[in-house]
Amino acid sequence: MKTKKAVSTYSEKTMPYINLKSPEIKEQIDKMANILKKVQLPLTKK
Amino acid sequence: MDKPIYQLQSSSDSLQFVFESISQERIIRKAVAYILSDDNPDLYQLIFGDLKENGDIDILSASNNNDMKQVLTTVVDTLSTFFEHYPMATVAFTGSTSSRTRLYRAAITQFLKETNLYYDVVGITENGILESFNSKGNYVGYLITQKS
Repeated sequence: MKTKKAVSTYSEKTMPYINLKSPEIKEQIDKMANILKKVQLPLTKK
Repeated sequence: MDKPIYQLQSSSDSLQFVFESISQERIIRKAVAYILSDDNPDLYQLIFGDLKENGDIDILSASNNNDMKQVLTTVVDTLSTFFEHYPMATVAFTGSTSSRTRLYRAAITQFLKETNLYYDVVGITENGILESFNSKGNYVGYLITQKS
């Protein structure tokens, strides 16, 4: 049986706003999408 | 992991994380985000960079805050929380530059030394071939899944 590894410490502070729609993020997502397009195998876990 | 990590803040859905990179000179806020793919309901892309005041993530910045190892350890540590909530997910990521992709290879090597009981990592070659992660492999991206 697997045991859980060391527990991370989490702050209770409110999360700040993160913009995931910026051109920079979109470019990075597209870059990864292009890499994955070449991958032939299904990526869904069995 | 027994390496020092920064304290994290997490969104309630465990898809976004924030922490502060701290040195004697400055404090830099960092963000990690797992973004769901439009094409695959189990595929998330890991994005990481400096969190700017306006909420943008600067994925290209080189902060040089003398804590790279601790920062990367903190980033990979978010995976455990992410996979607790999304155990069937595949996490895909690549560096914003080739040198960063290589840097991540070093981080993954360390990551696997400590967590290979829990996760599978494959490297994606330039030709789109998936291979079990090799610390000397030349990859353009990586995929991580939690072992079942």
